[in-house]
Amino acid sequence: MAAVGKEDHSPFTKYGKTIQDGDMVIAYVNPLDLQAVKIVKDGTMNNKYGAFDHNSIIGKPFGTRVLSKKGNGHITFLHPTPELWTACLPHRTQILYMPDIALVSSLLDLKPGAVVIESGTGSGSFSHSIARTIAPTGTLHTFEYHEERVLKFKDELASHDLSSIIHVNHRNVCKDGFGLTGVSDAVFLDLPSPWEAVAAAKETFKKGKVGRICTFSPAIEQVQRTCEELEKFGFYDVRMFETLIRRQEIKTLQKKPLPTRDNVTGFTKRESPKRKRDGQDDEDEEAAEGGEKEDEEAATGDKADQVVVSRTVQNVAGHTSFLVFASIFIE
Amino acid sequence: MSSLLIEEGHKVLIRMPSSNSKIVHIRSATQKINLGKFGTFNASSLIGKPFNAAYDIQADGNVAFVDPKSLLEELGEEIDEDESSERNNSNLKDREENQKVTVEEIARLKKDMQEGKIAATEIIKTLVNNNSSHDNKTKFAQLKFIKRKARKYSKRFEAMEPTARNLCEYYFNTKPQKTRGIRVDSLAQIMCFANVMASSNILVCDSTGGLVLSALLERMTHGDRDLGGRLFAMLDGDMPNFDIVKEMNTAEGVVERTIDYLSWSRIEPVEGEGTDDSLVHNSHYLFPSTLSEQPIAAPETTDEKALERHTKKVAAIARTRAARAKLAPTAFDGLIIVSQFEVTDILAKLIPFVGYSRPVVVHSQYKEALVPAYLMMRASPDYVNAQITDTMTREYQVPVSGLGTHPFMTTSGTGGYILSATRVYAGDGPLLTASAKKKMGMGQAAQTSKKRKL
Ligand SMILES: C[S@@+](CC[C@H](N)C(=O)[O-])C[C@H]1O[C@@H](n2cnc3c(N)ncnc32)[C@H](O)[C@@H]1O
Repeated sequence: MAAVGKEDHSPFTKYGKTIQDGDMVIAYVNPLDLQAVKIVKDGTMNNKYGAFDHNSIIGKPFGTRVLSKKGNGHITFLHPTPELWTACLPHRTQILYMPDIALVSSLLDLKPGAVVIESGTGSGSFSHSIARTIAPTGTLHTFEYHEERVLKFKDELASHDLSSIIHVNHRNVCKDGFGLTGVSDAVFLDLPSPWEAVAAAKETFKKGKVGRICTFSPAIEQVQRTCEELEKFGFYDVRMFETLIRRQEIKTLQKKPLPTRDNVTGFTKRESPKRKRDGQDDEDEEAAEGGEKEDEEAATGDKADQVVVSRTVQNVAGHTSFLVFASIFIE
Repeated sequence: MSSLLIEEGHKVLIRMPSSNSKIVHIRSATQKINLGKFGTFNASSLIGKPFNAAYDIQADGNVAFVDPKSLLEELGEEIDEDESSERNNSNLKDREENQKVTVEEIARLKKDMQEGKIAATEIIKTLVNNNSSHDNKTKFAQLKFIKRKARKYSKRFEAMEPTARNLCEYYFNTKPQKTRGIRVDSLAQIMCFANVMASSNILVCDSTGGLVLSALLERMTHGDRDLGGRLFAMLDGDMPNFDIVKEMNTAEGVVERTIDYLSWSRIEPVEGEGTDDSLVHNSHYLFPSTLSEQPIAAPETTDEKALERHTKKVAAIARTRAARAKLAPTAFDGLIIVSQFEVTDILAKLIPFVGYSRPVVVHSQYKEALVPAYLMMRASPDYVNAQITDTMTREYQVPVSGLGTHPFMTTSGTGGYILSATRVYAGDGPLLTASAKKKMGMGQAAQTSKKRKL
């Protein structure tokens, strides 16, 4: 068993307080505009917000918010987290997003000390989250057959100080199995044909306790074949889920007064609200998709004339994938 | 090696075929565990067996581990694997006369089973064999029939580990008010939004009877090892009310070591209490006792009870002080709120203690309860990335026949709403005003969002 406190000082397993030379930060402008940056003494960052001197934030707390050089935006230098990494990592494949990651982690009972097997590594989105959850005493064995992805991920691990928690293997798990026996608490398969890896996955589970498996597949035909295979190999308590996150859009509407009669012309007069906020609805429509729209005025305006409304954002991604979970006991 | 076996002293979450669940505490091996109508079994026979597996209560009162494949094998013979035939459910009649076994006979079989003369599977087999429409049903319908009968007659239950997830599901299905309607998927998301790491030091407002603390404890401990993580819980009253924490099987001493707590009314020192430590020895301010103005001297008595009370009081003062000292500016790696109190009030009190670049996560059953805090965050330079989300999780029937007595996760309705944001440091340097931002085209965000694929 791993020793307590395999000291890694990865920002994904332990917080730091102030930004130091060599640290990774997430330069955050809004939920869709964020970027991982390695802070180096005398370095500069260039983007549409202008040039930015790294020195000016070295020694400042993580979470420092500054006005961009060009004055066109605020940049906040956030401490990395697996969730932020998922939102800004370089995509080499399709990746897992937070709602699935959260549910899978929970239903696989991931926690410190867990030994987890994952395939394929893909872009390492889920891998980072797994590492955070099982550290400092757990281990993730991740398997990927695409060589370039393996190499890229190894580089990332080295630079994120995660190499002692995550072990990367270059291997075709459907053909060659995992090469591990009796070690794992949980297995996660995000592969085009997970059923081809079920038999091999069974070998990897610890003996004498109940282990958990999850497969992630977009198509019901894949689910069918996987379920058959799971049952054939003695997996039980098979359950299937689909999970989606829905953003709530919240905004302040200006109340429109009822029309009155114009005494001079005799026509109906439409009273314009005290403070014009025309076109706000359209703006918010866009902001609802994830933009950082600040509702400052909403919070400070004349409350009597306003009403706060909310709705579930309509255009939620329709369908992600089916998550199939099962248990196994190996004597 | 970690092995998840049931031990004496453990709590076990028992799931019965009726989908009812019950938490039992195996205090001693000699105990008999009573599952009500469902039956009674000897605790000793469950000790040493794995959690999260199924068991049959046998005639002698002992339980036997059920090989997950056995239900299939036992009853599989009754299922016709021949799918080529033209049979389907279209001409089935749901009638009593499909069943050739008489009511009296069923009653007799049931009695035999209760007396341990025959196994539950025997009854099910009899019912299946004597159901005239059985052979005409599709494989899937046959399985469903068997499962329904199994639920009715079997003495099979699942012994689940009382993990935060299993307890969450249990309370969501039985007493959702107790845990403020947190569903498994929302609890899972709280853990992600809050970036819970084993080494984190998290401030928690838990009005869920300890469910949130349980989930955090689980993510921050490993057996009895100290991984560095700490939790600081605000108490709704004077005493901790976190009984769900006690329903988990945590290693001894872990809860005490990991969780500090302080009553809301003790955030500021009580007048006259002073702040220097010398007062610990003769303070009149006590937790959870009264606020008498008179300092308490050690009682001049040899009455052991009185002396013990005094020692306890002094210890309580010291503990409260020590806890309060931990409520230091930016000391915490996150704030999680699932509370009965007003969110904006909580934030006003606690946000100074939350570190920069650390998450604030609030859960509520009601979206409206989160909106004022959301608007405050949006208007404040101290937060970024404020958003309110909810989760839609659907459970599907799977094309398998094996074990599993759990109810389907409620697919309609909601597991509540989550407000999440990050506290930031807007300390030095100029900031843009809202109107300036508009002029400078900060609608940028909206444009990029169009390109995002989920
Ligand atoms: C969708 S991606 C996984 C994404 C990953 N879950 C994430 O969050 O970043 C699937 C990966 O599985 C890999 N893969 C497919 N078949 C494989 C096999 N038989 N053995 C190992 N890796 C395989 C692919 O190369 C691809 O990188």
